[in-house]
Amino acid sequence: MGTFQKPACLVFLLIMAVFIVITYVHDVTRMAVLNDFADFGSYYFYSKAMNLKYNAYRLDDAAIDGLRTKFGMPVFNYPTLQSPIFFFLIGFITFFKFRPAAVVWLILNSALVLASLLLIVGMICEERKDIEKWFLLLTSLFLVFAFQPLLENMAVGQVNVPILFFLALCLYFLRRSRPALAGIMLSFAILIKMHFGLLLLFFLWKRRYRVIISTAAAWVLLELAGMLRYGPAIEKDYWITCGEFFFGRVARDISLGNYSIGPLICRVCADHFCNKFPLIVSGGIIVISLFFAAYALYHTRRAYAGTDMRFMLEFSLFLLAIFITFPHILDHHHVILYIPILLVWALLIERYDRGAFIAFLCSFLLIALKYAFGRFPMLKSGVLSIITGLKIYGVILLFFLAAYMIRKRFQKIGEGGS
Amino acid sequence: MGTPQKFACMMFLVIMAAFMIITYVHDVTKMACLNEFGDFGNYYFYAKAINLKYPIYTLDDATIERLRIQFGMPPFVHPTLHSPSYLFLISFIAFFKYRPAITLWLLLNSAALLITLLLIVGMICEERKDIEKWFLLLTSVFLVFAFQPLLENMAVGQVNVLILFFFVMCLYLLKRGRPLLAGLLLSVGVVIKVHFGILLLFFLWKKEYRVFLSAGVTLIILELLGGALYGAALERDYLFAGTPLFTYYTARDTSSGNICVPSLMGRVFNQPFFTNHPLVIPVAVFIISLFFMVYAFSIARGRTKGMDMKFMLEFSLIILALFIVFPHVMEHHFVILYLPIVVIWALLIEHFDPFAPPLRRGSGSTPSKPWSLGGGRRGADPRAVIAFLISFLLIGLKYAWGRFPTLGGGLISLVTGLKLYGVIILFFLVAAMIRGCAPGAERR
Repeated sequence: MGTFQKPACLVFLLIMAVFIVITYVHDVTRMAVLNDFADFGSYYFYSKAMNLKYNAYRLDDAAIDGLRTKFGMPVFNYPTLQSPIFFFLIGFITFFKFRPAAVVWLILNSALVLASLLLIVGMICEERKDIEKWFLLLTSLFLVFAFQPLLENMAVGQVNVPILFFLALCLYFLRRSRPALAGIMLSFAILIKMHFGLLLLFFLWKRRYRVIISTAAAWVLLELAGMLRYGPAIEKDYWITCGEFFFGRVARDISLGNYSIGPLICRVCADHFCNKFPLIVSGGIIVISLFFAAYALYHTRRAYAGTDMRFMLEFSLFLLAIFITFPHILDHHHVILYIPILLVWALLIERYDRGAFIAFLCSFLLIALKYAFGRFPMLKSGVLSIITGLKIYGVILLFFLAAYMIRKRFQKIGEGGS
Repeated sequence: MGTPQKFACMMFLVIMAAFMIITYVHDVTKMACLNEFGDFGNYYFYAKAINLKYPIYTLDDATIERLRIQFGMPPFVHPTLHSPSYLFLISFIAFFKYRPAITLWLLLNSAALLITLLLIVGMICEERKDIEKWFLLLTSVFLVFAFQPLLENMAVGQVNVLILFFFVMCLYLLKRGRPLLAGLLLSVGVVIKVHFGILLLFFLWKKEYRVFLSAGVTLIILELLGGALYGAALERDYLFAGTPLFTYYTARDTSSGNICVPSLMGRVFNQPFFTNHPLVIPVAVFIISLFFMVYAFSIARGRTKGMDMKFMLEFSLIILALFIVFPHVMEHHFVILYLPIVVIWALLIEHFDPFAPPLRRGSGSTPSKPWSLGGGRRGADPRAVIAFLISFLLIGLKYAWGRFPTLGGGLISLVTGLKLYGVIILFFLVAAMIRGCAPGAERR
């Protein structure tokens, strides 16, 4: 083997990055023309309905269908679980007709993907001076745009990318010592999908009380604003709907598209075990969930002041624990995992570690590759459906990899690791 | 800017290559379950029909439909333009039922693709000792598997990968000093699609008489074999009923899926003036075609010492010229362009260094070759890299015009020629590489 040439590597990465990004643009443009965007449809519909003073949480099917035809939009997913103020915040989108609105939405989301990518890479480079910026950025473009969950997310017009963006911004403001602003960003993420409220536990554990207070205050203010705008009755209906959903549908959703560990165990044990010993199964799930939570808490136990690489990695570890244990995780949610993926990738290219690399390779492939099991009914339940957990195995692998990185690279607090 | 650590680069390339290959396997597996494979269906049907002694070139639609149902296969593209000897060569596939046959076909093609890639990379590395083998191989995996024409090819079950395989085998055997075997494999490729017969002229032009003779004789033997097996009448049908069909079918196809100069010009200039003066377009097409062909052959003139990278590029140049001027070129044919793409890529990464000072005497580790861009002493011209980038993107990206009827004719249908422009850029890039007088190359 001769000497390694930097320009050759740079040129290849450029070609690859341009190819991947244009392919993404092509795919999303095609979606914009052809897809129905069931999830975006839901945001659009309810936002429009709320502004017309309908009670979004108490619409019956006939009313929904009537309004849908009136709004001139295709069939969408309902009911909704977003809070009233969320619909107010995205209300600008309803000034457009459905197709243009979807296009605006996709452009906005794509811009946010890029912004998040730059934010994360920027934060990493700030911390790690001797990393090659262009190398990290160009390889990250591949990791981000080859990621199938991103296409899933865009194909249904989901709202996960803004969550990713707000979480990245939250970290960014923490680094800039603006805990209040960081909290506000976190509260936006929680407003969009409530289960990220679990991240408050992380900040509590790390004794970042100002973040928690700010998050809580911002969240309460936002909910109050929603109440002022739409009335308390709607706010109450919102909470009732959420309760019904979380304690009713979510916990029981063991379909193939639900990737978290509880549904997987239920699928595997279905028929034989679940029905006979429901308590053992639920107990097992709780024990496993507790294990992951405890493992994450153990690795993040030390509270210290800075928001360095280690802190971001600990944040990621907590995020991963949520993804493993929360009972309702769909493929498109995984775009939020860009944060841990890019952090771990940056640590990997910094110092060679064969085992960690193989773990990262497997985990990235498992999460990012394009595959689905919807066409295979025999995998719906029974031992065979262990296969349907491939994505979560990737997430679990990434979880342990992040923990390993925290242990190996950051033994001394405050020095930011080696 | 420092240099990234080698392991970091290698790690990324391993992730990327694994990702690309698994994605390819996933996509092809999905196709194997769901697609109907219009083109493979054609080979399968006619291979089966010819072995049942049907006069396949003169079958009417009713018979085709009856036989199709009898064979238990979905609708396919017909009629056929393939020779009896080709159908004989692939008739092993007709022993299987349709779905297993197509699975076997896809496996065979994928295996041929991998072997081809390894052969090309191997031939390059044999010649260029100081190229990083792993780097060239892993980056080539991206160039090969991200290439949309490959998926198009597999999605319809086309045979182009096998043609590429036979051509590359031909070059390989020539490199190993086995011209007779090389000619034999060349002729197998030509039997599959007759228009590659022009490559025989290339070998004649390069004074590789043994390859030319061997290929010519094999072609005749194969045709005779077809005649002996299936009867002279069928062979005659193929030549006389097939050929007019060939000219009729191809010369008039101006649909946006047909990517070549004649078809594009037919689309762009569909105004009344040209319909009133029907000779203008064909004459213009003829002149353009003549230009590309003469240019290609004049660049590729002169005897080379053995089968080196220059020879591979010259061979590719003829194929590129053919793709530009031949009146029936579909996207999936472009998998054959892997040969120039990988060779040029290897030349670009060999010494490309846009940051190097203009002349670094003695720093190049290989003796300079006058025809390669840069050739050791000085870095390759960044413009060559940009040309490669643009051409690869134009040819390799996923896009199509079928959904845009507005692009079917008139000036605006110039857009539908994007893939062709990529091929033309690649053509001139290859020509510049061969001449060694691309802008900035070493001529001093």
